[in-house]
Amino acid sequence: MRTPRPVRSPRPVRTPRASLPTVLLCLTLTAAATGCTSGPQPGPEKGPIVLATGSDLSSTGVRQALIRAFEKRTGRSVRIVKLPDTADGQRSQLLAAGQSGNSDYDVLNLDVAWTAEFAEAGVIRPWGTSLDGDFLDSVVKTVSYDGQIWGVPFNSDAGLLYYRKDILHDYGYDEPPSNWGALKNMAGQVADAYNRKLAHDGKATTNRKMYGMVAQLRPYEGLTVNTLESAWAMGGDPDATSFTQGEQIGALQLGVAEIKDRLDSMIMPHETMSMDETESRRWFADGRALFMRNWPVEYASVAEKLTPGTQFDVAELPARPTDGKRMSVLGGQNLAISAGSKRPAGARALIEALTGPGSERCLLERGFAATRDSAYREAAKAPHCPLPPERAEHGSTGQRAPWPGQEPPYTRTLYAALRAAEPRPRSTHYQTFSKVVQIRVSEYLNSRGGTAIADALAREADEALTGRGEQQRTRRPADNG
Amino acid sequence: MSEYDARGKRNRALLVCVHDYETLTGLPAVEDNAEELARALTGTDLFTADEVTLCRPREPWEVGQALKTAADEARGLLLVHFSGHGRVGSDGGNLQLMVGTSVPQQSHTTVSWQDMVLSCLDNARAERIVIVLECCYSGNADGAFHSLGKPMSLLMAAQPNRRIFSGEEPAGGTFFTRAMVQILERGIPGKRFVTFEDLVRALRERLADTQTPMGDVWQPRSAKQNTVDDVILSFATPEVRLPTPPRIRLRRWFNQHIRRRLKLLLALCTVLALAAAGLTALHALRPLPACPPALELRLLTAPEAEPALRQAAFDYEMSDLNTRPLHGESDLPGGCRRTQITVYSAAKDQVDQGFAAADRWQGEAKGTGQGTPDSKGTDPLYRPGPQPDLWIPESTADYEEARRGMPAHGSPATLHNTGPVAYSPLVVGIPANKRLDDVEQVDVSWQDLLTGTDSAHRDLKLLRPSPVLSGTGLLHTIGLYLAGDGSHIGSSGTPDPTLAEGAEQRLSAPGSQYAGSTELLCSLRPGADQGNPARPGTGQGARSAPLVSEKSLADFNLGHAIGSCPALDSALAPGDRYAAYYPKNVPALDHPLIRVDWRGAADAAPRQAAVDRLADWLRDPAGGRRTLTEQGYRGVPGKDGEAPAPAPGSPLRSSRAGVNPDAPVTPFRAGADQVARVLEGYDKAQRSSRLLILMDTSTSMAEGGKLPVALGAAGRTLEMVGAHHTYGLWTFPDRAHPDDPAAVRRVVPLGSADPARGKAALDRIAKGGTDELVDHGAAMEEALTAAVREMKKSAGSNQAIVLILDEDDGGPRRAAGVERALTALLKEKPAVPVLTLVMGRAGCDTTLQGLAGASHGQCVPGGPQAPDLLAGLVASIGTAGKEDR
Repeated sequence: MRTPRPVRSPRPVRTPRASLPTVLLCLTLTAAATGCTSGPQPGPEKGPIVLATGSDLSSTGVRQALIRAFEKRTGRSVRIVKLPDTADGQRSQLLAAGQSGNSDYDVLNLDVAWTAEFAEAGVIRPWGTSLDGDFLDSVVKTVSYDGQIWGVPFNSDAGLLYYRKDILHDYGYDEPPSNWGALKNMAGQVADAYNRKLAHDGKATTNRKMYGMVAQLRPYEGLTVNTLESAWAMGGDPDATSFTQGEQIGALQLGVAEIKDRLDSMIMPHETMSMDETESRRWFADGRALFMRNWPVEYASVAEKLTPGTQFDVAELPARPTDGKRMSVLGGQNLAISAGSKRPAGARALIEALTGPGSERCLLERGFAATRDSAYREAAKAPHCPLPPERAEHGSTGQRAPWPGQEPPYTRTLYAALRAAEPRPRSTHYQTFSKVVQIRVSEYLNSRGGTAIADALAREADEALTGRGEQQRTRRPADNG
Repeated sequence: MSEYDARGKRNRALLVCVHDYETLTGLPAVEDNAEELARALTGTDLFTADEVTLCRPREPWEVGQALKTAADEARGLLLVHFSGHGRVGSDGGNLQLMVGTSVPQQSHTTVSWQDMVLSCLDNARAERIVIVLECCYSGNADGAFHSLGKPMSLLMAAQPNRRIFSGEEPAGGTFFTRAMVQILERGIPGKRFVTFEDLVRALRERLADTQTPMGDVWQPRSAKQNTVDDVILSFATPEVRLPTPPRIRLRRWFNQHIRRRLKLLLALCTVLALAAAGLTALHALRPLPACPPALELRLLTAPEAEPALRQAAFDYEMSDLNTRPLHGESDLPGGCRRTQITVYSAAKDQVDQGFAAADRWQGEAKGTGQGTPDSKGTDPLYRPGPQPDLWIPESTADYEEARRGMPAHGSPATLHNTGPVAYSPLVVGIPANKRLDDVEQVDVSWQDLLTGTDSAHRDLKLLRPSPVLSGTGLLHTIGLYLAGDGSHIGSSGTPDPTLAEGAEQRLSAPGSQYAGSTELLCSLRPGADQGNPARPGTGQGARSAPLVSEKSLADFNLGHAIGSCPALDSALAPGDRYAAYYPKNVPALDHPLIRVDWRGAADAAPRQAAVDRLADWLRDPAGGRRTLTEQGYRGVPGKDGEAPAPAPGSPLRSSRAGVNPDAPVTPFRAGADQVARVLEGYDKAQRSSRLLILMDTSTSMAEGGKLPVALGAAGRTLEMVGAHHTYGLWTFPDRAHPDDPAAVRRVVPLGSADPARGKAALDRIAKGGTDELVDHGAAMEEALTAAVREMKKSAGSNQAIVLILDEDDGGPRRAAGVERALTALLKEKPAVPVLTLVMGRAGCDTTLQGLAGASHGQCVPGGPQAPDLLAGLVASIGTAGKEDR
């Protein structure tokens, strides 16, 4: 029977820091009960483990294969509930159902940006106080909140700079730009020269014009990600909780102005403002941009049109001039145990199996960014992926993943990018912050001239992150006894 | 006993009088009740004219809104009067007041005495409440009345379980009201005023000779709750009338002249005092306590309305109002935002299926898996998506249709219609340089529009979003069928089948419909099909006349973002624009806000309060109404009942918008039955059609998440298979014939009418994963040739092939001339449009575009919108249009 949880109270259980012996004892007991090699003991838990996730786990693919392998090994079945097909829809449903006390899910597959909110809303339960040291430090930040760990990183992601190696070479550049300033110069100069040549050869059409760069500036989460990366490149601190205090003043303003400058100077085409990951990748793969900021998952798609290593390649995002840091926003998903779970031991066992060293290596081999350090070791020293190799297709031109049974070519670059990457603001009110950025930055980018919105943006962003309205933020509310 | 004297206070009287009924007998005499009573109430010192509100409701929400306003504003005496029909349940309980569109036994169409009237009055701030019920069974109101906590007096026109004979008296109001008015206007001999008790006594005396239909004496009843006082209802008297005491006059003068400014003064003082206190205390302050996550509200709407509502929801989230406490919430630190809102959208048929299968929606959301899957395999949690807390469809017709699909009992979701939040009239876009001769743009009959656009005149292709998938499409169809000759749509008209058939004859060729009005307009944007192979375009803008809404047409003309088309730098060139023609008496989109209550929610009270507050804000001229009108909608009428004209900043005012902001807004008045009959008529006007789904099941489909999207699109296509439509499902390559590139597997043979078979086959592929997929490359052109040959054997014109593929793997081994032969075959009559969805990275390349073009079909690239885009194209396969106009 489900215990009703208090409605909208902040976290239901807030245990004081447990003493070391207690923690050790708990850990030992948990390991004995659910250790991932022995599988869960047949306990009183009944019925399949319910895993709620977006559509990408419910059909084919490596993550589903890992779940099936768990079922086979432990004899426990897993029921996958297919959540709404957009990330916003998934978050909204999981949060609202959790607030209404209506969810009997066991494991939740969560976007890395939701941890703080779901923890505070009492939708997920704490996982423990620390994680296995094999998980990448940067990635562990996405499950840490308020001194506790709230889930286990499943798959990660970091933004990369895609560049046209062949064209840059033709115009005298053998390396991708080292910092953002260099990128701007290189993009402008090479694109101009290239377009002049097209015109000279009589091949210039609207469709063939080369632009400097494309990115994701449609008003959705991708715009928030690109804005944060630009603000960080302008000196912003990923750990700052305010954009109106100390050294943070101006970072957001400069970051947004920098993006607008790339649009106004035609380095980025006007159409970038309606691009998401797929649309920008299509543009780059069609040979219409020299640079692209995108996730590694698009690599294979670009590789179907441009030859990897020759025509294009990937690098870490350019460094910021002040300290040379190359900071990308961390993407990916975490697995957490639902607060209302009636099968917490099964849930824990499933999560441990899906995030174990072998599983993470499988994820890496099949095109995901693994969350464990060991997955990135050289093939011989890396953990073994327990899944059977994927069947190869014998069709005449049928292409498999270009790297069957081994790590993808971008792996070293991705590994470096992941270690330097940073999570988005870990705030209970991140979603509102992101909405503010999407609406205000989009308005600004669409406006003519340089109307300064940046002060208002920073103030509203702060307002969003505190969860308070403007008046209330600056004065203490009247005490009504 | 002391008498409560409300003179000079802020009093309100709400007179609800219903005389015109759609399904019940009319009560003509009730029409005069309102004016008669208003005159009597304002005749003496008690009420001023602006304190009396007359309400003649057609929908239950109109009573709800009027009650709420009156209850919010009254501080002294609140008087509520109802005259009209009343009904009770078989046990005599649960009194329901009937409004214009009420249907007996359908409780959502009536006003519940207990749940709506009393619960609303229980929140009133008035010192005294007096209720007068003049309807059959009014005597049964007594029971529920005693559960309340406010000082109230109740006058019931009849004793319990009695009906009353009334309603057809000659002018001057009903018998009962006339008696009441006379007493209130003439007073009682020997008394200086008329109290509630006096009124009851005098009424009983007057009615003593009258009988109820049951044969006994008609005896009004009264009840009192939480008060021993009597309440003065009139200062009329046949005796010498005393002058109004100075104290009362002073109070009234104070209320009328000082109170408002006093409030301002007080507010200023408070602000100053707070600021001073704040400044002194500032140093001693600790940081404010952290705010917990706000209550998450899920707002479901139509794709067309999503961007505007997203902006409105954001404005509300960041507004000061959103930091004020909600009824029923637990303690929160001061100043925290109370709600956050996620706005999402889905096609109309999916929303209908979701509400029809609400038990499954709830079951999947709870993780219990309860709720039986239907033959279509509806998965509401996946699509439409989250369980909505509020739903804003495009029009009331959508709401009626969803209601019709819901089970009568036992659904875990309850829908409450709170009324419209924004309007947009329906229009027909006529290319700017093909304006119709001798036809006015406003108030033109549909008949004249059909004639003016036909092949003998402007020769324009009428394009309508699918009535099945889109609210705009449905409402346009209602307008065409019911207001075809420009006549007013009453609540009982029936569509004429020949008219429906005739109208459908003119509407679009197979494969030309869209799931929504914005996608339709996006496809008509000049150059939409050039430069970007990813975007489907027809390049037929100048020969087409789209049936859309005023707002979307203005967006199109002004170059705003529309559907998947991004915003342009400026408005379209004058010659590329459409001029809006407003068909006469066609109802406007009215965007009703439907609150959805889910059974078993632990936070039901604050959730409902949060939705209600958002609903009020969306209608507030200083709140959401401003945001929505800035986006090109028409606002809802304010308290004065006047529909506001678009503000100077509205895009509708732009000379480039091509619309007429003075065109009237016709409210939705059609009944639920009419919506059903129009859909029936539409269905009957469809010709039988045949669909062949040809799907690539080579193993490459398993990569990159392509398979679920492809299966989703195939499933969505199957949902379009209706009573008149048969289909087949073929897959290729065929495992049994690895060497024959033209071999296909006939999973469901052509001619099948049961979508369940196809759905089961798709489920097998989904569950089987790579085992169900075939290891040799898919030779698209050969398989397509086989499919086209088969389809061309039939002479029928309403057929199409839906081709879903990753990419064509047959190229290297292909015999010469295959493509040329296929193209030639496609051009032969009868036409079989090929609607292609490409999952592969190359998208709609020139080959696929060429094949689609040769067949008069279309090519759509994979993406989140792909299934709906494809569904829109498929939905029109059976439209009885002339092909290839």
